[in-house]
Order: sequence, then structure tokens, then C-alpha cells
Amino acid sequence: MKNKALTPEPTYATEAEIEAAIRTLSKPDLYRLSCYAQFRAGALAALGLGISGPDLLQETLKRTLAGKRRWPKAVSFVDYLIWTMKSISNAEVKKVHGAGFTFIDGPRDVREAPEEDCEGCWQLPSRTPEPERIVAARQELERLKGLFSDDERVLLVIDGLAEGMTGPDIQKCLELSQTDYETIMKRLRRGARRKD
Amino acid sequence: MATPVDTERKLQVLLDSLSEAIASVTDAELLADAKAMEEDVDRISENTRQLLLGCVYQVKRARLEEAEHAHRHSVQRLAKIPFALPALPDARRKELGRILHRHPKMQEAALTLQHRNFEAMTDADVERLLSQLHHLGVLAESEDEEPE
Repeated sequence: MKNKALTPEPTYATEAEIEAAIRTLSKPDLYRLSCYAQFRAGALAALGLGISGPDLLQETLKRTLAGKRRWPKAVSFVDYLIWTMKSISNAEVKKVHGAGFTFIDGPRDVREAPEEDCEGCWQLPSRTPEPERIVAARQELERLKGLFSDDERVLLVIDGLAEGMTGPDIQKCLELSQTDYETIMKRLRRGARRKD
Repeated sequence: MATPVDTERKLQVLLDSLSEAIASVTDAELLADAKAMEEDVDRISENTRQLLLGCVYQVKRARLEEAEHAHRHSVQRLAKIPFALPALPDARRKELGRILHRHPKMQEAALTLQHRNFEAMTDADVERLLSQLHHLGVLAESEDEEPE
């Protein structure tokens, strides 16, 4: 019988280490966290969950400081916060869409805590879409598509992403080179964040 | 034709995908996005840092308030415990001797800092020390303990 290699137990950051990590985050790191939180919160808002990007980021850190989530020091602090924001928001999406909705997992160490309820933290969405929400979601999709009405390829990428396709699948399906796909995604990222 | 649920879900999935795109672009691309959108990266970054530090501060503050509350509760509890000094000075001295014997560290502090010699303490010193020990909760603890 072969001996299994022992995986070293991950070491988790203390509160002081978390605070020190916040103080040393770079400008791009902080900007990335802000943008990521904004998109994730926007996705939750599409389902009627009334939270902002800062709310989501704050909730992620609060859970970490409370010990409900732990930051394994082998993972960068930014990656940890991003994975945890993703995990928390996915848990909310599951509540709306049901357990049949699956997601790609993050690093095992980061996601070892069960996805907990947000009840008491946020206004929970109704499972039944409300008319205002449907109209708002439709308008936002139309706004996005309107920004790229002159570029059929971007519109097709939007449709692919909205159907849950991965980047490589979209590239293959639309026969896009890596450079073309990255250019389209860049336009899309900027367009989605521009609100005027 | 898309159902209402489809519309919400499509937007949510699209924005999730874009958030993942944000997570994977390089710092240079991210800053180029900011420049193209005329965003003030310095301000946004600093606001984000302050948001996170504010969260740490809130957690620390809550812990401090919890400790203060526990301390206040403990003081209130001690104040409610009846405190009756023995009537006679000799009995008080005996009581103090018994307590200090059970708490050697307390004895060390009381006799080193205030009175070098237990025997040299006045009756008023004994009474004051007993009162202080009551307020520290030592008398209540001593009553709960089994004699050595």
C-alpha cells in the first residue's frame, strides 16, 4: 500500500495580519476589489438583492474577522477576498435559483467554510421576479447591447456570456482569436461599468 | 421568447462573468480601463482601503464594548452581594488573614505596597483592605472556595 503524502495544514491569518494586509494593499489591488465587488453586487441586484459593492466587500471582511471565513496565508489576500465575495454571492444566487445551480469552486482552503445565510445582513430577494426588477434587468441588458449595436461580435459575446458559456467556448464557437476576444472583453468591461 | 426569469438570470450571469474578467486582468489592463473611463483610481483605492479598515475598527470597537459591558455587569453583580464585615476588629483581622493566606499573590501585593507588616496594620487599614477586596470580588471567591 502506498503512503499518502501528507498535506500540510494551512496556516490562517490573525486579525492583526489581516489589518496589516489591508494597509499594504496596492492601488491596483484596491481598485480591482472595488470593481469586482461592483460587478458582483450588480449581478445580485439583477435578482433583486439590494446590496452595493461596498456592502459585499464589507460583509466579506466582517465574516473573516468573525472567524466564519478564514484567510489561508498561502493565498494572496486579494485572491482570498475575491473568492470569498464570489462564494457569498453564489450562495445568494442559489437561494433564488435553487440548488440546481452549480458554480466552479475556488481554492479548497478558502471555501472550507459552508456558505452561510445572509439573513439579517441583507434584504433578501423574492423568488418570484417583481415587475420593476424585470424591467430594470431588461433595460440594463438593452443598455449594454445598445452600447455595441454597431459590433455584432460583441453582441454575440454578450449573448454567450449571458447563457453561461465560458470564454474558451465562446472563442471556439465564434472563431475568435485570443486577441479579438480580449479586445471585446475590454470594451465590454468598460461599457458595463459606464452608467451614462 | 425569453421569460422574465431568463432576463434576470441572463443579466446576473453576464455580470458574474464580467466580474471574473476583472479578477483575471493584469494590473496594467485594469489601470488602462480606469484611465479610459476617466476614473479617479487614487480616490477609489483610498475609499476602498478606508472601508476595509473601518470594518476592522468596528470589530475591535464591538469587542471593546462587549468587554466594557462584561466589566460593568461584573461590578453591578459584586455590588449586589451583601458585604458584612465582622463586628469586632480582631475578627476582621482574622478574616483578612484567612483571605490573604488563600491568595498569596494578593498578600504579596497588599503587604508589599501598602503595609510592610500584617501585624503593624491598623484596624482602619484592615477594614479598608477588606472593603477593597470585596469590590475586587475576592471575598466572594473566597467564600466559594474550599478551605485548604
